[in-house]
Amino acid sequence: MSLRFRNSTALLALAAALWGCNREERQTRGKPLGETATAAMPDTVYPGTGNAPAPDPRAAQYEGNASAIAQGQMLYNQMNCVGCHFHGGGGMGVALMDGKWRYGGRIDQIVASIDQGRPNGMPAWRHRLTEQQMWQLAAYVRTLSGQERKDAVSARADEVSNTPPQTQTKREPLMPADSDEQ
Amino acid sequence: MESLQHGPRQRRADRSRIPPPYPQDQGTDLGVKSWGPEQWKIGGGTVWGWLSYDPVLKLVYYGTSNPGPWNAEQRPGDNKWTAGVFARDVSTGQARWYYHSTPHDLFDHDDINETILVDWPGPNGQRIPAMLRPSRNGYFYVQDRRNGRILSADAYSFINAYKGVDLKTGRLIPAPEKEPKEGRVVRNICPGPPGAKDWNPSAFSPVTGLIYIPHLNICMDMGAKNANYIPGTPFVGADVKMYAGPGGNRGVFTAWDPVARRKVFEIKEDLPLWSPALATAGGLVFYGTMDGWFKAIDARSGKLLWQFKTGSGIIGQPISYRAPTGDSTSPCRRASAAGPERSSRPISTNAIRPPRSASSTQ
Ligand code: HEC
Repeated sequence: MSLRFRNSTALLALAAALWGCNREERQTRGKPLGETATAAMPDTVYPGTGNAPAPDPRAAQYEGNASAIAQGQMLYNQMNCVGCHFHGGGGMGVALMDGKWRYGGRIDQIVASIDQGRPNGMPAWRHRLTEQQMWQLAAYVRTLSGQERKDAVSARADEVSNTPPQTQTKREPLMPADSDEQ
Repeated sequence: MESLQHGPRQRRADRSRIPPPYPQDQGTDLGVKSWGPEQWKIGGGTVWGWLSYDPVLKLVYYGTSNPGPWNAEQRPGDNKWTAGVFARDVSTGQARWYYHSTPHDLFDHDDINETILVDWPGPNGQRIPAMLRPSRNGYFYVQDRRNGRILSADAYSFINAYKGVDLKTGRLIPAPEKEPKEGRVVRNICPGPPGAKDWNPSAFSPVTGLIYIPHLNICMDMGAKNANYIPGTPFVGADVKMYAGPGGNRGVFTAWDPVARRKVFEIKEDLPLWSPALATAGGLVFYGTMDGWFKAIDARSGKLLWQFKTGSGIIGQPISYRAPTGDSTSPCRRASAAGPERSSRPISTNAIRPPRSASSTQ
């Protein structure tokens, strides 16, 4: 075996380790939500073509993070999100697996929807969930529309599955919803 | 949220003059004792369906909905007074009797469907005040409405989730192999959560003696999981996949002979039927489909006589009434009108007549 080859294997292993670190990184001490609303959670509901607020830097901690997504997947069932949104297809609550967002599809915008609730029937989860849990949920919600890296999503659905797991399906471009809602 | 159907409030009912017909529905505080501790307080069993009134017996009849959560492992016991039917004294509100159609419901089989009050032909030519109930669990119940006793209970749709109704004990016979467990998915359970028939009422025709049942042919795979009680969110604890039952059609329109206890005809509909039925004295029966067809069929043969495409799926109640004759020259011209959902204009169907010859052939 040539030295050169051995070197590149080592390099690959190192790269994989670093990549994996990022994917697996876990914040064991997420800051709990204070008594009053946190200033860092901007209201993302804005009229007309107003500009979305600047992205929240905390997004990097949760986006594409396997343990956050796995926690979020568990919470999505435990907190009864399923009863309204089903496993993304929607029911009483809007579909979360299409490319259409009423209140923004960035992870921090999804956190804001969960935290503040939304007027047409989405309950507010502030004081029921920690901020960290809301970010975890948002990270999972983004996987429903195939927006997260394949090596970060769970290979196994928690529910009766009707479709192959995300790790075995092609990443497809986001499709707009079939029809405009309301 | 507390449910007033359950709990100690029922104690008075248990001491009523006529005891409930079956032993499992007799006793005190059953609305508390047939649950795990304190569970009756969050156990569902609401009333969201039809009420019928008998002005002679002065009784009001209604059914109660399923227990919560759907995951039945979380609520041991029979779970009274969910998924059953009540008869209550209209002046005092006191329960006269109660019949538990689906004890310890496993599949969201509410019992809120309509109760149709009829005079039933008794053994010695006398008339029994009875009630007809095409139930969510798939059985067609004929019950003596004075005391709740079952006269007959037959499957009017495909059922594998139960093995029948024991007429001696009044108890539904479960099919243990179809019982969902936490962490285990059970496939091919029939009927699915909306039952063999949901809230949309059937119609009884005194002319033909038949009951016309718009209903569903839907089966499911079901997996149970732990549900947390969080006010304002669905308390379910089940994942369900629904699909068409045997035959591949999701809707059925069944004409049922309650005395002969058999199906007279059935019409398969591709889409689930969520429209109520209407039977007229002219020998016509009306119903609508989810793809917007409003249909008139012959009450005896089921033959399609007329249909009209409306602008939306039909889940609203058709009604009929005698319209002012206007410029009509025909003295006995009957006009029916139907109001399909979201259609602002009534549809005049006064030209439809069942063919005289066809109705006598079947
Ligand atoms: C009681 C039913 C209900 C429950 C429970 C519920 N939602 Fe919602 N949700 C809704 C409805 C309805 C909307 C649409 C609100 C609107 O348009 O104003 C919505 C909107 C949302 C949105 C915004 C979607 C968009 O298009 O911008 C997100 C994200 C969301 N829900 C996530 C969740 C999560 C995560 C949970 C569980 C923690 C949850 N929901 C629980 C009913 C519910």
